[in-house]
Amino acid sequence: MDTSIRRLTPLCLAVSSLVGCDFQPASSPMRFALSETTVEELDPAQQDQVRGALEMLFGTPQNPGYMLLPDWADDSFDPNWPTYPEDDYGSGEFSDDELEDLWEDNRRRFADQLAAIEEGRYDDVAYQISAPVLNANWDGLRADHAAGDLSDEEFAEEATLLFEEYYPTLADSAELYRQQCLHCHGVEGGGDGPTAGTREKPYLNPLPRDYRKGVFKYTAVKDKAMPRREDLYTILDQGIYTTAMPNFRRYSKAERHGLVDYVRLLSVRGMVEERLTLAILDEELMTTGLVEETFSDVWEKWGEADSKYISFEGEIPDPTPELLARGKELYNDATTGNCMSCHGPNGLGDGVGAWKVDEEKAEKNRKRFHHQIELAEAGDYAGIHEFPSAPDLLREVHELADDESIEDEAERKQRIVQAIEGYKAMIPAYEDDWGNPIIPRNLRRGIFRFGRRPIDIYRRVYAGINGGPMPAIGESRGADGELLLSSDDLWAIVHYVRSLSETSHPLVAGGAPAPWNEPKDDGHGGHGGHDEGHGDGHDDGHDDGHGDGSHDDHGGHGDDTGHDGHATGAGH
Amino acid sequence: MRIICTILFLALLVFGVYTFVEAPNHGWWLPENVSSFGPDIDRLFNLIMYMVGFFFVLTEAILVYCVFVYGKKRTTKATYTHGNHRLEMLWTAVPALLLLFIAFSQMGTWAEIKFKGNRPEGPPMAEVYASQFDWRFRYPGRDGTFGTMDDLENAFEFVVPVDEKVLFHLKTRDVIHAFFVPEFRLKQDATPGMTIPVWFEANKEGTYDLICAELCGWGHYKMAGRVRVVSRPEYEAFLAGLEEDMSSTGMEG
Repeated sequence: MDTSIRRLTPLCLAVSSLVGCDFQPASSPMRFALSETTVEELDPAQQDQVRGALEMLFGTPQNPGYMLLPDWADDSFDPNWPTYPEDDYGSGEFSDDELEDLWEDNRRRFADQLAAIEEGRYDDVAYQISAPVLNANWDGLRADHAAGDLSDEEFAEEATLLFEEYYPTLADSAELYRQQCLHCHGVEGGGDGPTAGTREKPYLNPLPRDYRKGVFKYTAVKDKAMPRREDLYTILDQGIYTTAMPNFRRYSKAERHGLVDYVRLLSVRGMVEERLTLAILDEELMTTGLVEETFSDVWEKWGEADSKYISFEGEIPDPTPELLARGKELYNDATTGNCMSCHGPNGLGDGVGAWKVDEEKAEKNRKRFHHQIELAEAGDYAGIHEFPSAPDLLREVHELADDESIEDEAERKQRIVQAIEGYKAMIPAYEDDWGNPIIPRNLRRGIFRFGRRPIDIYRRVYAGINGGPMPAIGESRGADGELLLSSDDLWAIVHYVRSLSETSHPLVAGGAPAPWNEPKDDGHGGHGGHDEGHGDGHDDGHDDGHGDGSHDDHGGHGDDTGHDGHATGAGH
Repeated sequence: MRIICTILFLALLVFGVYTFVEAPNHGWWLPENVSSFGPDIDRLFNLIMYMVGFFFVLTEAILVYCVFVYGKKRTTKATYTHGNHRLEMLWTAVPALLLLFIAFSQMGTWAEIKFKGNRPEGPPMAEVYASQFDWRFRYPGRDGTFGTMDDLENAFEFVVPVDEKVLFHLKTRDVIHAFFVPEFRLKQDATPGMTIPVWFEANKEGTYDLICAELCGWGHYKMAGRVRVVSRPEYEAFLAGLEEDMSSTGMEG
């Protein structure tokens, strides 16, 4: 008997897999957790105060929503309904054209449902996996229909509208966020989801953004203002190329805008939390007034984004050779553009300003090459015959020894010693606001995370990158108070930067070629990827460069090219 | 026990065959073919499926028969046999011949899809970059060469003209990915460091899912894209739209 039961196990397994499991773990209500700072700095009673205030203002993950401030209620303003006009219990964030665009996209997204409704096949209308509110509304409509509260025509009309003019509520967006974003971005948007790893042991490089700080890198606004709705939407539309953030264009426009709403809620919540914690530490009393004032301040900070938008009036100048030459000049000029100080003279991201010597590694080099350093200090450069397993260093030392542009012998000696000590010992000099080491973009790869359109690069040059060392040079002024760079100058830099990633641009070809840029006689005059030979060359470049891009571990030089370029300049 | 096992194996046989008979009625079958070389791929698919199906039924039936007939409690001692030389020759030779048959019957199709000689002439229409977890499609712009400042790039959606041989270069920026459009019957790995020419001809306008068919990391399931097949004028309008977007000054939005 026992054996026959045991032998039935496969059958039982097969049956159970066909039937499917209906097992639901006991669910406890989800709550937003407090940030590490709040937990560290405040005692439990104060933490409860902050948690209570935040839940009052923003709800819970399952039931998120903004509390209405008193004067909002007076003005019939409600941030929970972005598609409704501002004076009609909404926040009026879409024009009529934009709304029509959203509904058009919904007609594509819900084509099956709409067809089923039109043909009266109501049972075939599929539930949405990520829209509990929509599903509930659909059930509600059907119940009304079944109860006879709605005539057939009324029902069909309402049902069509339900899907056609679907704009997710914050609860629906929170559900989609849980399914698609949470695993990296975390419940509170702290960038600490399980697939992101931690600062100590990151699975992703770069780590996801911590929304709670309210600092967003890729925006189209100046003065480090909060991002506009469109800026966050662009990220969902395009992804952030070569990072782990993909695009989400397989979701409808309305769904993506809904995610933007939810991300903004998380960010506002985090910023309010931070301010409340600071206020308590300043021994301010947690009153309703303080909470409302803080929320109102943060909300207004978000509201000013549109007035900080960077656009350009007029035509973008053509990238003429003269303009590119001007761009190159500004790029390399330490008093104006000064791009090369970090991005390097050849755009490889190897500028001296962005890298420093790691003392531990330098010490190892001193031990390892002590004989060579002694020779160098004695001025006997010719006596240095080899660096064990570092032939590129030998070449570099000899180049420095023979470099006639160095006139001062003491300087030459110093640079040679520094080159030896700094061999493969360079680490990024800067960190961003989140504690990630900053590796300047290798402009030769032609990968621009916020977009490769001229206007995108213009905005980066103009306003810099929030949270990192990339400066805003668009409005930097000289001692006389005049703008250092005219808009033509900015466009010159933009076009020059864009030309750096060309495979065969004269200026690039004339300068120091990147390894993948070696001219190949392929009968096409060195142009384009018409044949495999050239295409391969191009591609290798991307792969080489990849090391110092997104997927590299903390700092270090991604590749030897980067190192060569760097060590040469390190002597300054 | 004998009866239970017989029923179990018989059920497997019936269920296996039933799945294939019933699947098309639920739309669980090959998606509509829109590619010029799709019929050849489908012919090969069906050929192999019927062949394998025949042997599945045959061997499964023999198994059920044997379990039923020989599964009784034995009263006699088992005999020892060295096997049957002829039988072994037979079951080696028949599959070998079948494999050879498949190998030869697919050669023409393979050549049409992969051989250099059948590659459409001229420069590629686009470069397709796979990366974790994104598809990017780069068009050469008006100068017809890649790697220049007027290159146009689109994320997510690959727009191609209908009824034309489309040649593109497939590359990856990080790990191995695979370009897979079920409706085109087209699947091609993208390998780091390689530029892989791929071509197809879509004969029906529409929007088709592009999926990554090589497990490429934790976000593999997110790595979706779309291929939109449009008429020639629409294709050109699309490129013009990308070009216009490139010259955006931000004043419009």
